[in-house]
Amino acid sequence: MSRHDCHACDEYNELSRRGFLKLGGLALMASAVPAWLPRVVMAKNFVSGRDVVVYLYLRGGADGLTMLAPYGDPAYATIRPTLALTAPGGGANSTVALPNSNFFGLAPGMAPLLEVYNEGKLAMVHASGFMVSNPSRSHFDAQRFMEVGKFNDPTLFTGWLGRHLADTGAVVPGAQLRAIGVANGLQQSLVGSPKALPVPGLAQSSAPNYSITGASGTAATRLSRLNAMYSAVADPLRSAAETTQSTITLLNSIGFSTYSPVNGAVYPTTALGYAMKSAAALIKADVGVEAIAIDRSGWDLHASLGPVNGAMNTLMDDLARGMLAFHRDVIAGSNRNAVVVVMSEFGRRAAENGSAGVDHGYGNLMLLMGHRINGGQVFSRNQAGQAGWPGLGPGQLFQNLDLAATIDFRNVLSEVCANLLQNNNLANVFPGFAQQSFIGVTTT
Amino acid sequence: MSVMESAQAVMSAMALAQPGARPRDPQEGPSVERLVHRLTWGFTQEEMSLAMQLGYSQYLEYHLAHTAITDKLIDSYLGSTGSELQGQEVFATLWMTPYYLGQQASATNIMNALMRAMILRATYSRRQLFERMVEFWSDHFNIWMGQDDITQRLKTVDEREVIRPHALGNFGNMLRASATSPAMLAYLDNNLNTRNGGNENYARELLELHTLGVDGGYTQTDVIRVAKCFTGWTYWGSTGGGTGAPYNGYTFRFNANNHDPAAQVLFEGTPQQITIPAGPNNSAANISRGELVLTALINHPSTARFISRKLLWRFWGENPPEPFVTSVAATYAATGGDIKAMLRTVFNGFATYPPPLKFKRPIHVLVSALRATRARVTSLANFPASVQTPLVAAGQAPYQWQAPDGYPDTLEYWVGLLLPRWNFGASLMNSNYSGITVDTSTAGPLLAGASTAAQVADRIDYLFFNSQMSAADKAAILAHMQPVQSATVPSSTQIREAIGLAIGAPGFQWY
Repeated sequence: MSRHDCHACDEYNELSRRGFLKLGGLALMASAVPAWLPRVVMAKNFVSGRDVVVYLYLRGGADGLTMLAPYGDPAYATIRPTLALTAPGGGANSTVALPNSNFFGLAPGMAPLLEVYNEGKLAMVHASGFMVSNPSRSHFDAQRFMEVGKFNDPTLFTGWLGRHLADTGAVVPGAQLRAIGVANGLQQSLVGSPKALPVPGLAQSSAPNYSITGASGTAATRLSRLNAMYSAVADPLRSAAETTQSTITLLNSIGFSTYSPVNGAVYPTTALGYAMKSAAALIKADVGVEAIAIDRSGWDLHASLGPVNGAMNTLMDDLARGMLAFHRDVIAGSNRNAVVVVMSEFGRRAAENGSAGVDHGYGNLMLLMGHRINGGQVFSRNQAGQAGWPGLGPGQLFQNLDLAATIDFRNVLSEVCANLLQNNNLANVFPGFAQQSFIGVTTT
Repeated sequence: MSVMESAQAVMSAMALAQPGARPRDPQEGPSVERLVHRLTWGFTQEEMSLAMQLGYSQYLEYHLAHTAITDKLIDSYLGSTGSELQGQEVFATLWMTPYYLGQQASATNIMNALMRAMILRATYSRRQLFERMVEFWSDHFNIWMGQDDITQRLKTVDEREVIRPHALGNFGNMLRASATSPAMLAYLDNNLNTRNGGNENYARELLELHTLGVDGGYTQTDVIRVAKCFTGWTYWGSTGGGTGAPYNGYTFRFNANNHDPAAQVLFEGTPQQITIPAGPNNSAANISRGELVLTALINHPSTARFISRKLLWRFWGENPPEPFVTSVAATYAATGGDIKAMLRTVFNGFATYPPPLKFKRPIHVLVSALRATRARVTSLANFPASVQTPLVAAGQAPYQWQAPDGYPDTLEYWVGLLLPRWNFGASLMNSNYSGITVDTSTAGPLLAGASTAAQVADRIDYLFFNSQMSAADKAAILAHMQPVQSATVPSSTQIREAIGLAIGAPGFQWY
């Protein structure tokens, strides 16, 4: 094993011991081996102290002002006369109360997350974004710049997670697959990661059919022919083929179809729910996957937002139930170190438009869920950078249009990276970002 | 590793990306072979012969004059407007008016017909450059067909009346047609953009994706003002309205009553600043205000560069040289957006700027495999229906990209999803796709008498790779065809699997 491969060995061994202690020891584990666990890793059960990160991206610009509604800001109802949610306590548009806030309320579709919030495992960061003077309201620029982790740099195309993974040794030495994008093309956030591959089939109801078609009797031979061909070409094709080959073996060793969530977890029967469930199976299989990127699109609701019983509500319900199931199954029920980070490229216009929708905006909501998330609270800041709310009133809106961003998302992700992913090389993960003190979304 | 180092490592890896030992074209100047690869949906020896016979320039002109190319097979499959040829019943929706499309019981059937026609045209049309351009513009003016009932029914009309008539025509005419296309207006919510309440969706993508590009010199203020100029641009409901009812159902409508006629200044403080003058209230003449915006966009130098760069990205390669972009943009400016003229500048520029190899997108892999193997349709009821699911697995079902930027065209995006590409070859040659057949009989047109492993490998090399298959690729398919025991020639199964492997080979992923 090369020195590079062993980069994380000591850490891994240490974490493994801690993992056993946390789970009550090897004997207990061995006696209750679920059938879906891949045989290949049964000998070395462990729990890493480096969190597995599930990066859940809401494509299209999710409306944070609905998801976590600032009903305590009087301007909110003024600029959204038909769409604003109201204070908890009945009424068709009322929010679900947070126990410790008389300012923010959850949209009804987000209500499943209240359980996680009350357990202290869900933190919400409002009015976040790139703190720059000229943010992009283009879906494509905004997504790209956020995922590469640097604003307005078209030359940088490796993602923040990709650089993090490239910069750290594998948690499981020799892991065949360190990052998975549940997508047709690898998400920009993961580009640059070693051993990373998109596997769209993980978002299907059935187990991912990740194998070569044609006669099964010759499948192995044909794969070896392809291996011979692709071994002779340059990257990125060669490494993609190599990872594809090992992923065929890996995914077929995990019994996705018989995977049983624990602790009362019920994943929604949607692409997002299936993806979260697949992520859970992968994490519990201990095969060394450290980052899983999942997308949920459909948030670009310029018309008929439907914050209570329309399109937005459906999307939030899907998201919240998927997260709740994952929390129950993986975090609360299996004591796994995993962190779920949820974000979107921008928030939407503070004021509603003429078609009961909202156009592209700026400041937005982030969600963080996990064992070591300092949850049960909303983090937000006023225009002066103190705890508070930037405001939706006249003179408070960014460019007179949008919720301002008063917490830079890179600050939040840097804290996750340093404290939960144990990578302090933040200048590499978020180049050019002037680090500030962390806002405290993690407990360590 | 620093950020720069890791970025450079990936970039140098991308720069090195070549299909193994495949040699660069040895000749000086633009290569006819490369031209065949670039302007078709897949190399065939028939196209190559034609190109060699006509020469570089005349072969290009042949394809640019697409209406002069007869297309009997496609006409017999699909039928055509104003033609006596009757297409297959399953494709009848391709030719229906918007009103009749609205009356169809099944929107799914309409979508299926359009997707399947796309695959058939790409594979079997002799107007190969035209069909490549149709694909290009369908990406450029992307409409996610599945979005809602309107897009499900009317993307067919957009393809027929916006994309196809102008694909080798004039960019401005296509833009104007797109701006009045009900499917586009519905997709980007402009039907909801009224004087009583704006909706910026169409206006933003019109500037960002259709014309100027995101860095093309517009501001958020311009988005808002352009949106106001397009208030009232909508479409009639399914049963139409006014004097044309009901047969003008689902056609463009300028609703003057919903138009905000206030004056708007666009691109303020730039050389392109323009004032769209105020109009009278509730006047049908106010449609000219949106038309003025379109004209301003068509004439804007950022549009010339944006369209030129995108054309080069598709037909030359990723990150085209800026001087090349400038020369194509100059053609745009000189000709007022003539697409054929721009393509001449693109393809003739290959002499000065030798094109890098380009990674096929999934549909391209499948279609080029069908072309290379001379696959023959046996049932239009079953094919192309039988490849729809494999295309979904490969990430590129036609007209199903949700966001308005169209399917990506980068190696970086597609390179991770290799398995479905391998499976195209494996499934096709295992006869898993119903309604289509590949004849691998020794005497058939594909093998043409080749019977030994070496002969078959040479034949595949010739048909698929113009006899430039990489040594590793060829060795692998040869190894797969080694006769067993007492046999002297490979079995039919071995041959078919070897062809499947050639489709999955790294060399076949490039063009």
